[in-house]
Amino acid sequence: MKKNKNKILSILMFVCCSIIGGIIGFMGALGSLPSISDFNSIFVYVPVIIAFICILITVYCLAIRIYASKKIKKENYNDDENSAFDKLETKLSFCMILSALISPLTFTSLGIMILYQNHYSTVIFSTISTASCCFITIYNDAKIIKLVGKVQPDKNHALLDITYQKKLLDSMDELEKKIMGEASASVISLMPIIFVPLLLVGILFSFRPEYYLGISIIWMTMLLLYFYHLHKCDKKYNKK
Amino acid sequence: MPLVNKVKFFREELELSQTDLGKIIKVSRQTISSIERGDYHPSIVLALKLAQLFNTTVEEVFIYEEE
Repeated sequence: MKKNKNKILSILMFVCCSIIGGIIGFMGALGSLPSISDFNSIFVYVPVIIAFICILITVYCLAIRIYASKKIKKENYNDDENSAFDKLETKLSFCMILSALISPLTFTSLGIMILYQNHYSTVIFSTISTASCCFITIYNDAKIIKLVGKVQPDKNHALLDITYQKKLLDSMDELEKKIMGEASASVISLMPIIFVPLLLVGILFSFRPEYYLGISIIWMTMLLLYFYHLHKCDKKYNKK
Repeated sequence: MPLVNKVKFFREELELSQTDLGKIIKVSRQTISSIERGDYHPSIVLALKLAQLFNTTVEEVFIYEEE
């Protein structure tokens, strides 16, 4: 029963993806929508705002990490109930999520500045802010992982290790794995809800559909990988 | 939830903290805390580990109450 449900769900997801992909491709082929150049004025101030938001996020993450490491060090790296780590763990995770947003945001800002502004000073400003924000957030993430590793030695992994996520999952206990699984499934199921309104907004404001191609590819890849791993796990646990 | 447990009672009898209990049965403190609150029902292996540590049976630690 459960297997059949998964199959139906998979087919439904693929049909949805195909329809949305088809619509994008069809509209792109028609080329009937007005160009994004009508919105050139937006590109004057939007990248600067994005760059400043990224700088603020970087400073916030750095401050939280420094504050947390001082507090946790003071308590000898323990994770008892109501300890500093217990209270600050969510904030540290939130910082890591914010850090993950920095690279796409800063590079978007840099790309828009290079393409649409061409002013020497703004491009230089954006390049410096992109490089420094990305460097600081990666450094900060590595420090957060090191800090968590000190409190929970079984979760001591290197950020630049490509099997980091797998090792992290292996080191989790059953409840942590359950939480991780539920969160992943929720994110995957939210993708159509995020993507479809984005597409509709794009059509409404006459953005070219090609700009959504990146998101579609990421979404499709994510879904394919998700279903591949689901199938792999299903096989692993249903060996005959 | 129809499943109630006496994990906290047995843990306190052994004078163990949530962290210590977690370390012994190799789960996080948060997992112990969730089990005690009744927010999470452990797997059979974990339930057996707890019962073994408390030197009792699973039925003594976890009680299924019909609604």
